[in-house]
Amino acid sequence: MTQGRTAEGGEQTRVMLLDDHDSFRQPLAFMLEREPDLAVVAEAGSLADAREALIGLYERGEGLDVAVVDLDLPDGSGTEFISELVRANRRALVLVLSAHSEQGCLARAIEAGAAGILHKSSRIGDITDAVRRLRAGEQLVSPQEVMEAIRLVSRERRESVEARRIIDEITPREKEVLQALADGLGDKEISERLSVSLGTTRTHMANILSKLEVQSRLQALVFALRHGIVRVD
Amino acid sequence: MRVLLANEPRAYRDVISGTLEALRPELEILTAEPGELDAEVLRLSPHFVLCSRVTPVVESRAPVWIELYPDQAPGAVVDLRGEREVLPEMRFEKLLSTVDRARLSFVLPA
Repeated sequence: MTQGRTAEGGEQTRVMLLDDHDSFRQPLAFMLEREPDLAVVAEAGSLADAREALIGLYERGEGLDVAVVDLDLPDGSGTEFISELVRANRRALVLVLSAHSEQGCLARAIEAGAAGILHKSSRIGDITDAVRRLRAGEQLVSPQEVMEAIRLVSRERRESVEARRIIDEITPREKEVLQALADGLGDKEISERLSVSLGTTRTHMANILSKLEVQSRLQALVFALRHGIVRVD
Repeated sequence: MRVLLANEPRAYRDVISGTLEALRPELEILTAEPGELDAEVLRLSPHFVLCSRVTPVVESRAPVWIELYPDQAPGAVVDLRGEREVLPEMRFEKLLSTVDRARLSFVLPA
């Protein structure tokens, strides 16, 4: 495996950049390359390109020390790449550099194996510092943060399984009623649309509230929207 | 040519300004927080503005501007002395060539 050296004879840290914003990624590569101890060995603007770049590195016998990864990519989440990289290369460390501040998203990245998280509101000095600290073996995400991330992701998964169970209980007719509700229709208008009596519409509504375990039509609507049962144009 | 970068997030502003300073040392590169955009345009009269959301002040006062990745969406709008382009993606070479074209437009007689 080839490894560049700094003027003082130390090993350069080999960095890969994954970000679809070319007008950020390329100048970032330029700025990192100006640091004598850093070498940008690969760049990619998509998951597909990143996978190819990684294969190219391994085929050439070149290693990777730190991957700087954005989570929002045009063909998927950076979290997928993190999982794949960490599985394929135990030595490579991942620094997430994202404009995301949504906890669940960051938690999933940590659970997948990210060793550090920086927001894109960081200065370039913070980014180069984080790359160096990771390379030096410093843990940028504390064990407590890792545990919290795993707990959060586990909770999300449980909620998702529970939501799926509930959604499977909603009948096609009840989904029509929910869609009519999302379209802003009242009971009378829903009855007319579905060609049923007002009483039947109200019965459907009561069953929906019971199955979704909510107290109001608004809560039912929020649930339905969140889980894609209805659409709002 | 005076260039004002007031785009966000900060990491973008930092790396683009740092790269422009290195590659185009003849330019005067200034940075500002996005919230200070209008005030700095009025104060500094930059020839070229890079921002995340173009404002009426920028449109009326800056001869050349780029609206880059508004709300982190891909793409950009480039306005070079009234010649406007809407781009689905913004490669850095394009940003650099726009800077170069802008500089030439101020150097060469119309």
